Amino acid sequence: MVNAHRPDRVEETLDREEVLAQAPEREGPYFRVPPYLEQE
Amino acid sequence: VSDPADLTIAAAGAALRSGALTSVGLLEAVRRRASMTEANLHAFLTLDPEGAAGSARDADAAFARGEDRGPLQGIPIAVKDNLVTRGIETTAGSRILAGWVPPYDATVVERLAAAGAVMVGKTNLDEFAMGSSTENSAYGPTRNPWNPDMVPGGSSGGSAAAVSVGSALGALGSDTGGSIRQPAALTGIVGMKPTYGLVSRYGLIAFASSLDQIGPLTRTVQDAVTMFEAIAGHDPSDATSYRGEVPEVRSGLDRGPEGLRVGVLTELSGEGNQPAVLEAFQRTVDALERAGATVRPMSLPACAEALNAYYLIAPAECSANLARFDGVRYGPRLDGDTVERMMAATRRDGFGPEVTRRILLGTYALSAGYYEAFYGQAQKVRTLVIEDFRRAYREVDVLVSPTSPTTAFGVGEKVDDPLTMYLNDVATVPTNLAGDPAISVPAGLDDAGLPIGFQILAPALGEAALFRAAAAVERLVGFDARPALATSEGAA
Repeated sequence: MVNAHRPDRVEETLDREEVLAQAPEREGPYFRVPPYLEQE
Repeated sequence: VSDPADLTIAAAGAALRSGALTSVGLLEAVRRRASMTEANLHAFLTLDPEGAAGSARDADAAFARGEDRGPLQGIPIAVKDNLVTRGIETTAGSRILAGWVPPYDATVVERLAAAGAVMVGKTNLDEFAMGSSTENSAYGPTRNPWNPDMVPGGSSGGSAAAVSVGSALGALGSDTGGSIRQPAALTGIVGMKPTYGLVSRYGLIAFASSLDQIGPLTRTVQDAVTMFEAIAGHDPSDATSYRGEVPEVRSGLDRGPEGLRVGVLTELSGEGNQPAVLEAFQRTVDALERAGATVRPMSLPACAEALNAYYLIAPAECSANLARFDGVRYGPRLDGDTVERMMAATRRDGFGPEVTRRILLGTYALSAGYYEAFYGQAQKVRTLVIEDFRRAYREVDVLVSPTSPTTAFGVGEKVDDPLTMYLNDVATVPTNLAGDPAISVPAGLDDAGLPIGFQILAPALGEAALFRAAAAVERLVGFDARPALATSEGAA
């Protein structure tokens, strides 16, 4: 048995702007979603 | 062969190296073939004319400089649309990913590009690879180049149709329960599923992660080897990627079947198969025996139960994998006054009926109180299948069966009967449950002129025996028929 985990190294990640550009709705650096709870 | 679109990868490679053909010329030939046939076939969801032209020019420039990155340099290849491609829309055949442009390439796409291949476009599939006819695509069905009233099989039906007709010289597909081999069989080409873990799944939109594997669809066994060599090998981005050496397969291709121990998988090679399929199968087995293979029947009783286990395990995994399509990060979104209602509306609208059916089935099979009765039992059957194969491979090098119990069926014929549709996969799912490699090779035509596939199975990492047996079958059968739509009369 050998450990299948790869080394815990920081590598290049996806570009934030490119990822957010795919979202149906965004607000600044965040994905925007409707409220989680029912509005009173 | 007068039209370069009808060349094999090997023959086109030789022509590119002798200067008889340029990659730009070869690309023009396959694009001409696509423009003559796509209105009938609908093999592609997206074409990438500019990207392909650029890659073809790069390949020609590389040849001119004396640079050679190997047998795929300058070769037009199609890619199933559940493999992500940077900057090119990737939908997996689903409305829920309409318009999604991935920000990265799948490892296999990167490897093809590094080998100098020319990616011509993205091929049609059953939504999220769930189906056996390519009729479950949200963007309309693909049709069979041998007879456009018939399905091309699935789920890699677009890849199979494109290679069969000559709109690409090779293609990538994915095989969760037969989705490479069955469409290859129904369109008269070669389709291969590698050992689980040999090809990276990074960038493959997951259906059932413990079963999914990417592999080639080509016109010859040698071409399948060429594509297999280009895509196989460890990838740190896939935690299930195999870390050992990729088996060396090419040197055994000319060895022939002499001394090869072949087991006829009895549970899959009798009742339930169309007579013409059984005849072609038996003819091929007899030819192998005459050519020096040792043939014996092998019973693997658990294979008879494999389909039932598969249709619990695959939906269970899909119900988890498809949870990510929630209208938040990518794809279209439907409005809702809470996040839960937004997600429900988005998913109800975005998923087609077969995907919805499998998500519901999988969620049910995994739910508290039913888990042990359904998913737990299915996993036990999976273990029995694995043990049956292990026992068999102590006595034989490869197992054989028909790839699909029937030749291509009519468009619309089985869409309303999911259970009948699932029976298409009876011979292909056992090897996915075991994680072993398998291949389908053309074995002839039925009375209606539709292709029949011959399936070869081998133990994990047994690709050398698999390809050796496949090359032997290919030579013995001598299949050289071409689909009606590939000829000028058919395409007109």
